[in-house]
Amino acid sequence: MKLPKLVSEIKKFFLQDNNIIGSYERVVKINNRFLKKKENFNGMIAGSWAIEAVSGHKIEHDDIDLIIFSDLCFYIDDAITNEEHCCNVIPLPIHYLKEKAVKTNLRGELEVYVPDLTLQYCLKIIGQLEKEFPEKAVVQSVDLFSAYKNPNYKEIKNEIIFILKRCTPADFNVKNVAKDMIFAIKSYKLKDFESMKVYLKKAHRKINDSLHKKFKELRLE
Amino acid sequence: MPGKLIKYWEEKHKKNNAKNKSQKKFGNKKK
Repeated sequence: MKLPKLVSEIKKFFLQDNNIIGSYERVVKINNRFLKKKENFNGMIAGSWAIEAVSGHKIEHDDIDLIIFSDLCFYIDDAITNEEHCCNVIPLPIHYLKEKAVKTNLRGELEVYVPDLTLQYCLKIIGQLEKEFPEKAVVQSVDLFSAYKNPNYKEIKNEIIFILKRCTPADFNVKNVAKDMIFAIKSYKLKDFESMKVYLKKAHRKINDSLHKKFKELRLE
Repeated sequence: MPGKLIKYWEEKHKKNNAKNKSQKKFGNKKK
């Protein structure tokens, strides 16, 4: 697949840059050199750096994830292992991703665009291909939930359905999982952390089973 | 994001693209 020019440039930068993979220094460079475009932005910081930006909690970062705006939007990261490195299309339309880009400050100084909370939440659950939802992902989900102020559950549910329909197999029951994901946020807001974990793990297991089934069909594993 | 998932998204995109092209070619027949 032909890569958009900006994606090729960022890939080249990842190979040449001396800063540590996943480091803040690298985020600053990427943001200022490639994403910032006068008053506008060419893309968003995603993954754990986006979670830190919206929650304000400092966390450890293994890599830097980016969503690049283009006719076909791309998801790219600076990880070097084959397991984790990615550079490919994200199956969500550019107008939607631009609409869901939220301007915020990272570490109180760097102006960045990140996906809105619900998009981050969905990507966090979809992106865990381990059998069990990792504890680290539970903690990061809590960081996201803490950033929801007066959540409108109907809107959040509709957004979850929109995202999951495009990012999971066609025969997957998205409405059913959207309910679990909403219950997880509601449980957090009620400080019922046990139930929150149960719903998170339930949603993850359903998405994960469906994805692995599809991977087998497509001989990706 | 895991490489396997991203590969799946690429396959999904190709399939959708092919579907859209074929719909454009033959048109959406409505009664």
